Amino acid sequence: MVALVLFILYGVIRITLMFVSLQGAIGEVQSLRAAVQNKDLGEVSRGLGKAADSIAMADSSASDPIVQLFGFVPIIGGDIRTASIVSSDGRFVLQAAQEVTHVANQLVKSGVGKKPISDRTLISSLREGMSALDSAVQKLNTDLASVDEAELHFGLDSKIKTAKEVVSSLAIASSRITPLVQVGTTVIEQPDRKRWFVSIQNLAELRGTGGITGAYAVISSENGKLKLEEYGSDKRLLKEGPIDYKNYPQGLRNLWGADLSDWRDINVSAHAPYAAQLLADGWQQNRGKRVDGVLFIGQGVVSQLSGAVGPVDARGVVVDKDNAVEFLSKDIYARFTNVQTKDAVVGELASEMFKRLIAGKVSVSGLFAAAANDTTGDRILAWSRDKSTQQVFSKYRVSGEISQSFGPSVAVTLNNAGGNKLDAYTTLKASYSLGVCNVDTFTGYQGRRSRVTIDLSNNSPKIGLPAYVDMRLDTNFGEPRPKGSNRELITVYGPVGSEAESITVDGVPGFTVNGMDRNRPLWIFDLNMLPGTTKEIVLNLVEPINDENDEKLSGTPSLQGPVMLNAPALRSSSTGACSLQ
Amino acid sequence: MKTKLTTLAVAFVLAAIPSIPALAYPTGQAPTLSLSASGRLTPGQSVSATVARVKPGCPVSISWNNAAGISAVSGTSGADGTTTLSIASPKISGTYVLTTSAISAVCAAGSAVTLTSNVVFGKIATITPKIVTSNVSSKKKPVISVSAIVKSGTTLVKSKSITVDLNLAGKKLKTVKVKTDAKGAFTAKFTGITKAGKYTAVITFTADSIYSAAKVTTKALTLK
Repeated sequence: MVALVLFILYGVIRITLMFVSLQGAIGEVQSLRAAVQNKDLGEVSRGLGKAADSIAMADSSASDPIVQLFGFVPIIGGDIRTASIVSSDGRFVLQAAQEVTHVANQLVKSGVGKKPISDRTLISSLREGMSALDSAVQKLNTDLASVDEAELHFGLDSKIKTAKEVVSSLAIASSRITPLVQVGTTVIEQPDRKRWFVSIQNLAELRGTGGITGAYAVISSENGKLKLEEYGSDKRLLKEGPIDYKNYPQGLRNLWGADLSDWRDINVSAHAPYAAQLLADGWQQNRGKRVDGVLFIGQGVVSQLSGAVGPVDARGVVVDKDNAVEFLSKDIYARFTNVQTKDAVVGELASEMFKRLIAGKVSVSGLFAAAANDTTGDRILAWSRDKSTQQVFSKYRVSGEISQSFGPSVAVTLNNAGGNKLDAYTTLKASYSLGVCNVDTFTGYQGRRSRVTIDLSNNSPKIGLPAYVDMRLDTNFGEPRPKGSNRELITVYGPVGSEAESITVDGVPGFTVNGMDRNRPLWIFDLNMLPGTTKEIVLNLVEPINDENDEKLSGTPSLQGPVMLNAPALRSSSTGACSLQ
Repeated sequence: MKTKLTTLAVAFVLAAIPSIPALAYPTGQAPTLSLSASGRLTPGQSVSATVARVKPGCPVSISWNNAAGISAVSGTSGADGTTTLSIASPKISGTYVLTTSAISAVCAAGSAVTLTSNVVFGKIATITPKIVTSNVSSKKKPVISVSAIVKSGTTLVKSKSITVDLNLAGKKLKTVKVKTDAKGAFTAKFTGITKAGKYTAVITFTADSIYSAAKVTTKALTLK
């Protein structure tokens, strides 16, 4: 009896301590507001440290097995479990945030961007800290999403509801800012002089890496200092002439042929390093200048950068974080019907934006707000000629590589084959599900069935679009082409060693261009899309569950969607793991 | 004067011919070669292929690059730019190259192209070999054994002829021919080994009407 009382008493004390410590942490975070407003990174870091100490105490209580047992108690169990999630996940968030602000403060003190880098480890620490912070925030967001506020009491329900909203915004912003930090820090930490080609893609005309290169900037970096060498539109690139691609893999050339020679089409492949290398080769072949790295950005990233550098004025149009995506993907064509003027406006905006970025005239809060509000499916991709730098991009999954490894992985990309800007109205839903086991692949592996389903919609209006937006430049073979119609090429990369048992488009067996690229089978669908219509592609696959060494494959199914203006809706699922026989 | 003009004309024409294909915007303008069959292709089964995005009325033919005895099949592109042709396929498993005749620049609305597509017939057998020795000293009459199980997915490949070559420092030393047993297994034994060095074995599986050819090399075995 005494033991039971002591058990309950101990639990109550620990739970009380958890809630009190949690309150303390929340209080510390709230008191940071003034330091944040004063942009005092040192004070923010110290405050976060105190908050992290408080939440560590709460986490210590939450991790206590006896406290965890109280999570099963009726009525209050949900409150205890929720407090436990907030304590445990919140601890990692606060600790990572403290590390990031501490490093950022030291970088500011060292005069980063103004003086040569004196301590390169600070730059990599910022990158690693930001990556850890993003992981922690995403975990907190996922765990909080699983909490049902209706089961909470003592006012915790309203607090968790608010926390869910705040953390959800934070998670979106973090997922968008982190890749920028990962790429940005990698660019500026290069000790030797490096030249970077920035492809500013127009996601209204889709390509494998995002969109057609509408404008570009050439930036050089050297020991922390950046310099804008040149900028221009695609017209200027075209004047450089075609690119020699004869040394690229046969599989790639079979699939895309002469597209690889045209500056407007060279990023057709889903494997971003191909496009990057072609851009670099094209620059070298035509300008005689070496390009060491390539960055791909689209309207989404531009809107985030717009938030960082503030509103930019070009020919009477003010572009800011709130209108950048809409203006650069739709409004610009109605406002500037003369193509040369439109290109000049894009060039001027890009130039001003990069000048401000390079001068360090950036607002972190502006970047954060823009990132949180970015609803596009854009993401930065980066490539470096230097192998170790490319490994960094690859590690942080910003390299846009198509993996050559075995495993349940499918990638989908889109290419606009109509030569128009209608992809501002294109949406895509895709799913990848692993199904029954005990099926051999034709390629000699033990396998399982899987299914890839893609719904592609052309939501463009049938009337009212500027001629430049809904034109058709592809050869006419007599198919219906009302205003707003488009032609799309959908590329699907299957898992290594997989095969298609059946392929249908709207339920009818479909003809596809088949190929092999990056050791993976792929299928290209050529679809004529009338306005207001959706087409459904279904691929029934058989894919390996063991690799070439007869080792069992592990991992959850991964579906990589296209970089596109309207964020694709992606879903993957599995019926469970298969056993080798 | 006439010679000079001719030289100038030739120079002009040469300058106008790019060393690489003409620009190709938007994407996907070039003709394509696609297969109707998405599933498993059995040797001997005919294949249906479509050549698309060729100007109407243009001649199109397809053939196998590396399969003897199968005639090319010809047709003419229709009003929608496509031609669908059926062609017999090779009777032995393996990878074959289906190719079109050259499609002229006029018919391709750009650069002249010849399209190819790798087509795989038959199943693939996998071999995971082991190489062991009865003694690591070359002076003690070692016997080198090479063994493996041959299978395709979960199917054991029975009664199939296997050739095993024993190499010393990359040079073929001896050859043994074996057959897989009821469990798809085989063991090849090499005797009369007298030299020290790095030994590897190359296991060759010849293609038939079911399985494609396979060639696998073991890890190196060092004898002192």
